[in-house]
Amino acid sequence: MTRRGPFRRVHTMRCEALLTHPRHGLMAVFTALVVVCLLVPAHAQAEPTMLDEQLDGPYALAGTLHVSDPENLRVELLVDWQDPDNTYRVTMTPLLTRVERVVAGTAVAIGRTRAHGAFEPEADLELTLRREGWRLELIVDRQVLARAWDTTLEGGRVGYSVTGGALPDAMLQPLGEVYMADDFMRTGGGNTTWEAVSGSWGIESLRVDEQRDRMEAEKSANAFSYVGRATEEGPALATTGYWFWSDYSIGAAVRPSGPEAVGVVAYYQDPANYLAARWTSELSEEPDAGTLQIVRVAGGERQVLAQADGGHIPGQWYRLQLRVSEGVVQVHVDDEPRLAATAELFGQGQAGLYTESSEGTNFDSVTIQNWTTLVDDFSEPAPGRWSISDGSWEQTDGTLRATGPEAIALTGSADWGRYSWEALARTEAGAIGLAACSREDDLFVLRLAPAGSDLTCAGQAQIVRVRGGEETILASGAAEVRPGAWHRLRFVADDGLLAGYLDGERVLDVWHPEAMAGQVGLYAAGGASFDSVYLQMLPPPRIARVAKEFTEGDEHWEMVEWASTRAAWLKPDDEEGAWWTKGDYFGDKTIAFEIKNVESSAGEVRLHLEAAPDDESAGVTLVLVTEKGSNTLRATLQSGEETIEEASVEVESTRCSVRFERKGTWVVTTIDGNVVFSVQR
Amino acid sequence: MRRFIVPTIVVLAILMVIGYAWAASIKIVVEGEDYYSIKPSMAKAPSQVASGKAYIHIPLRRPHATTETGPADDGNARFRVRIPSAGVYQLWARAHWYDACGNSFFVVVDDKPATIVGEDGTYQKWHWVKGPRLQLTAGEHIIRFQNREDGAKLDQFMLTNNARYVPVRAEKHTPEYIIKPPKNQ
Repeated sequence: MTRRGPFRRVHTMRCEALLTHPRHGLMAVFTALVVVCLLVPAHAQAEPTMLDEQLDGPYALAGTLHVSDPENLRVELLVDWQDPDNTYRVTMTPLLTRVERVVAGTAVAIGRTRAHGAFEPEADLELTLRREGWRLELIVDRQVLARAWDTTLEGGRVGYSVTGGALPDAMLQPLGEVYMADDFMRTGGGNTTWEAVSGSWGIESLRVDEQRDRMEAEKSANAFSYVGRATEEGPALATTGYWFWSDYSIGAAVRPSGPEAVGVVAYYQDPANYLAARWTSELSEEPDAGTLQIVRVAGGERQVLAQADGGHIPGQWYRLQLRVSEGVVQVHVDDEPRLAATAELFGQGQAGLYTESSEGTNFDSVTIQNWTTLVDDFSEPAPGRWSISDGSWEQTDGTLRATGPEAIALTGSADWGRYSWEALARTEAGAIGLAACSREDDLFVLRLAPAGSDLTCAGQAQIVRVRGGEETILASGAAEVRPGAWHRLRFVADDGLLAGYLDGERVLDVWHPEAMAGQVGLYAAGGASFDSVYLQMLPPPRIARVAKEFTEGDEHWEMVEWASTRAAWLKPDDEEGAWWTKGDYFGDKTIAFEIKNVESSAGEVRLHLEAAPDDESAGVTLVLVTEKGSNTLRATLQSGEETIEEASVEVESTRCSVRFERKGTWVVTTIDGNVVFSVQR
Repeated sequence: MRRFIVPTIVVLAILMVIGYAWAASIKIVVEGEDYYSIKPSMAKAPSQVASGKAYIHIPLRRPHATTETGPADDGNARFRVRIPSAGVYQLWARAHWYDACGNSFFVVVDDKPATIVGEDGTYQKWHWVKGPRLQLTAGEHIIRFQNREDGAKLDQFMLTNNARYVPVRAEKHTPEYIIKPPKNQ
């Protein structure tokens, strides 16, 4: 602004002088054109430059921030801009970072922020402002400077203004699902999935016989793996994915060949900046032998953020997984949680594989997918993250305290489904609880109260649906809550199944068809405190590989005979006998399939859940009967000779989808998404 | 002295206009069904989830190939694309692979040698696959997607001069850059 006034005045005077002479009219036009062109960048620094492009769905504003005047640098970013009075505004100076929700002209600070500090003159820094779901996140110079959570405004334009610098290459990058899988089943070129950053990398046969060098994919179900070898220059590192990937897990099957460290990498920026799960061997002679570490490499310096005992054994296959989300870093080995840390570095970046072995480390079955978490220890305020639905809430002394006869605070996204939600909670004589699947004045609550309380749930755990202010108790059971003691509560929402846990023990569950998705929250009655809340999404259910071997016999004709002897099914001795799976399936499970051409013929299908071939009374059986010319299915739920329930189901199209499920203590049957049976058994 | 002012200003103005145009990010998004010509076994198919409700593909052969021994034919789709300004363009393909033996196409640009797009391990899912970087002149170019493996599907492809941009979902169609045969116009 200080430059622009005099600059404009000088040129205006010159234009007037030029226009006094007719010969110079053309000159004046061009001069004016040049002046306008020159003024555009200066003007853009004061008034926001609004990008023409608008993206549906999540996006990031990204660009290179050039710092010309470090002391006076001021960046203002606008997202979901509807008009000047309705927008999110992110402001950054050396001493301040601020996120504001501006509604009807009133600005309210939201989220957690920290200042960048002094900038270097003539520095070029990567800037990204992510708008993803309910979250806004500012990443500058590979540091997360702001994270806010709000959904008041959605959609709209994106703009920016910079003084003391410039953002010359601002662009909108769409964000979306993070997903990549690689089984390394290829021999040809053309692959651009992986980039070898250091060391040597290549796809090699897993065979150890004389056919190893032939690389014959058809001779094995899992012929190849990706092998990395460190060199004298240092570890081997290969990366995949894109610079904007965030909130994901990278899992890989890993087989170390020697005692050197192996690992997987997240938020990779360059060879000197990334996060990694680094795992050394029990057999190593190095000082850090036999440890699993979360390390951050920043500016080429490696720092251990967390460490646990227990190393790998060379030659053994493991599944190593690194998860990153909202500053939380976790490591799992063979699906067991082993290590966690916090790190606000980078905030986004590629994924990778890592080894310090020069003999080679095998990597296979790599899967990278979204991983979302919510963690809060209430050590610092986060305005806007929690919305008060009822009662009075106060964040104090590292806890969130509720007062009043009934209090509910909600957080998260209404789109969230299939999660585990937990918190530490305590009360003297009131009730403590968690809320889940909250959508528009409809939510499900797990609540518990000490025996001496005068509340209806005294000495009990209850799962309650609260809809339009009306309560319905769906399940209840005995539970011991000690007055004044901290208890860990957990509420799992899994496709209709709601399960409540107290101090790690499952105390009750219920299945409800409308408990599918929604926000999470905290519940209190008569005063309670909460701490250390933690949400994690449940992993997608694994699908047993039984259907493919049967349905694709035409395409994989050469495999049919092989499959019939080694597949998961046992062929019955007689024609009408049941096909039994070879495996035992523990815990919750679903049999899902389609019935095609319901009207075309009469027939019967019997599905046995948790049964045994030699015990007809074991488990639960679903019998579905079709009649020729009718679109009505007769469904019967049985246990041995006992009929549990019967129903007739009219299907709308010629094919219908059937799900027969064990969900906690419930057996649920749905046809075309409609619940036919839900019984506790 | 004044006689140099006008030319200088004109040159400056032209340079600035060219500069802005050069700096502009270009995205050319072509639907699979925008082909100028198609040769079997490449075929068009309808879809509820593909952009434009259609895609092109090399249909699964029965039995499906279990080795990478080479394609059974040279089925292909030819696209005529108008490049607005010369530069280096990144090619992206929105693809759906059947399995490890159905996860690539050959791509031939003008009369240049064929390159492979695909060979990644994401199966049974529409996703964007990075292709070659192409030095293209302004004007018309022919891009050919050709059979390499059966079970490979193509929904869209994109050419962009923005090296940092990565497509993640179906992109907005840009018919202004696509030349179609008269009967399809």
